[in-house]
Amino acid sequence: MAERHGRMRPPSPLGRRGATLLTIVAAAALAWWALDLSLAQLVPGAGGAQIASEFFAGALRPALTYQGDWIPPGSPPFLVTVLVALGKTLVFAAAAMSLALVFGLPLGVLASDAWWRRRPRWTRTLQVAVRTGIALQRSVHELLWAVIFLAALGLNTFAAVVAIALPYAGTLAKVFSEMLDEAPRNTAEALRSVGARPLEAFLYGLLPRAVPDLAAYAFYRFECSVRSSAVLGFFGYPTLGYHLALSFTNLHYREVWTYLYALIATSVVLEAWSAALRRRLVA
Amino acid sequence: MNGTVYPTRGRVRFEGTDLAQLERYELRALRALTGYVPQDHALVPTLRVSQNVVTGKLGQRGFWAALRSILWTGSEDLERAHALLERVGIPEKLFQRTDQLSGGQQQRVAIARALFQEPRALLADEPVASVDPTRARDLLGLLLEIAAERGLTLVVSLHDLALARELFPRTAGLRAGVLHFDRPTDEIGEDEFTELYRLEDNGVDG
Amino acid sequence: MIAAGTNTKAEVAALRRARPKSPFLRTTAIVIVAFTTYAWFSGEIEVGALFRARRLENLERFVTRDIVPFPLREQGLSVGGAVDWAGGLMREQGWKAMLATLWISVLAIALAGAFALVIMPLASGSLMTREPYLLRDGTRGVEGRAWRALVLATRFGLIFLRAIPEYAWAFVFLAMLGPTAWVAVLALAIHNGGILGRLYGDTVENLEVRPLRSLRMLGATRRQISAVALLPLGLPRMLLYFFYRFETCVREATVLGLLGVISLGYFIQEARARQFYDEMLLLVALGVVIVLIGDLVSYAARAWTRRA
Repeated sequence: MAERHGRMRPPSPLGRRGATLLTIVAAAALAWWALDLSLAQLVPGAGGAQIASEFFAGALRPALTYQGDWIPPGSPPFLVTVLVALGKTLVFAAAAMSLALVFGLPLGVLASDAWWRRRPRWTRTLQVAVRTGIALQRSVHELLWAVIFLAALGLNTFAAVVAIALPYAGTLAKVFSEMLDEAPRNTAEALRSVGARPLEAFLYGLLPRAVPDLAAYAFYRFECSVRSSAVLGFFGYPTLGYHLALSFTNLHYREVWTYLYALIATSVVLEAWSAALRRRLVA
Repeated sequence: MNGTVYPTRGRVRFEGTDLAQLERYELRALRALTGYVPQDHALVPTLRVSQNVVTGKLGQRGFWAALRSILWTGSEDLERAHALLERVGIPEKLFQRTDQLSGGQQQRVAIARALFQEPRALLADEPVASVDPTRARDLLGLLLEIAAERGLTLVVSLHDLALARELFPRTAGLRAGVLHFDRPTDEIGEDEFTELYRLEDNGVDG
Repeated sequence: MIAAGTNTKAEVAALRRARPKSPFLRTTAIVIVAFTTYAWFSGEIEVGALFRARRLENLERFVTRDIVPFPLREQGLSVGGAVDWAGGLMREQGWKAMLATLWISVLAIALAGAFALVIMPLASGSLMTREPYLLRDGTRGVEGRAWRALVLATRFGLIFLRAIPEYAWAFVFLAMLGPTAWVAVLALAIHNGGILGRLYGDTVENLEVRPLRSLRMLGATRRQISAVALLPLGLPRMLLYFFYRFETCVREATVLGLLGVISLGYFIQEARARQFYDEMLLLVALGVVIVLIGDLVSYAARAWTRRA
């Protein structure tokens, strides 16, 4: 009887997903131990507690004017400063994103199987080379690119834009190539069968089938690049991060929250826009 | 003339690529002369109907002319496209986005695209697989009318033998690539059809 | 009918005028083009200034001198010296930093995932209605609106968490907690918790409704439905998202060290401050390695769970 029961049980009592979950929990526990963490570390010291309470209290009343007694003469009203910083953040993001698109789109085509299908086998080495290049571009974070450029070139805004554009172009290229490979191929084949050249079949048959997805994804990435460009401010570029860090070190926490809310509001707007775009294009 | 067309196509597509390499230019010219209506109509859903129709001429135009014709369709092309859409019964859809059309309408756009090629023969692969029976009859009727009026050779592959018998003058029964019969439809006996019914079948009309 | 040339022309023109337009898409396109043009020509992006002589000199020094490994610079071509140098760096900083980076991202993504699982039912608009899965319009009336408000509040909270970059969170936590690994773990967990919470919420909203409806008809509570149906049904997709986010976690964990938390970024920042650019680049290369390892783990895990 017992044997029979044993045989009726599924081969693995846990299943792959259960095993995956358990592995994650175990890995987290291991990480806890390896990092030598304790819950006591989560309780801030006296100074830290003061900062924490003042900072989070600031969330409820973000500043509308400068905090602090001394304001440098000739500075614009606080909200203008916030808007200008937000504008610059968007400028950096848009410039970086357009650059990333210009390089990411062709790289994506060259990395896709759809492009190399029906071409001589040896040309595939080029595809492998492109894919490797993309992977390397992607695996260095935009802030690390920024640090390298700072060391090599000093503070230059174009270098900052390139720093964002490099990993973003890599990511766009990777995702684009996947989308091209997943796009339905029937139109391209129909065009081929009425005498279109391979390039034409690709341009008018395959590419348009993938474009809605590409556009929606690119727009989503723009939202990410806004955050990236805001963070570049921590390295001295005139975006939101710069002002945020400055206000924080001056202990002007309510100002910090104004900057944060500006960023959040931008995110909300872009997300709603992006969702509407996706509905129109993809659905 | 057309007799040479189809075996060449067949051999190139089914037997090997060496032939295709040899006859690349000829093949392209040949393909440009045979209009093709694929089973799933294979249109680009996000383009306008006019743009989809114009892609029919891709095989006969140079690269830049083709690019121009799709991005900035000239009035001559537009008028031809309009006339063809009128012929297939949906002239008012010229500038609609293709995915706004119903399945049957999209099938008609695919026919217009094939006609836009100014082909000498029209190939339709299962053109009625995804439409209901009455529509199927209408569509096939339309294809037959157009073929008659322009003197085109029409080849249609079908799964529905009843339709083939009713509408087409000549039927070829194919099973797994092997020709079972190829005669005027009237001369084909009932038993031959039933024989084919049990198997995987195609009715082909020439 | 084709003969009527002028007539056709007029008809085509009329059709063209009446073609369906999407003001939304058109506005979006115009805004994008206009703003991008403005971005490049606003003078904010100093393209020309990058190629000024002094910068180029700086670049030349950086490439030909600064990033050449220290022993090679001093002793000429000596492979042994370079290997010793790299080995020493690995022993002192490299391994430790790589492991710390990895562990930080593992713990952070696990916390983010746990948080997202808890918050997930609250973010699901289809579960949080007056009568989930049974009423066509469960958001009517006072009660329905209250449920709707709960979902919206949760969703806004999640936007709040993820709209603030992890770097900013870490910056703030560093001031509160001092330089412990918690700073990076919390920053990553909060930001990714916001992202995963939203993705998980969307996942369970998009689940096939029929099994859920039948459970509800059997009298199951919302909590029971979440545990018995939403979780197992959504799990494959959730694990997919989980591992995708793990990849970005590894990337970000490297970078958060720049603030002073012990991960790779910390040593990169230190090397940069001392202008040991050769060390800095070696550490960045280690960053590439660890990111590739993270991608590989994620890829393998996704393949493994997908086959389940």
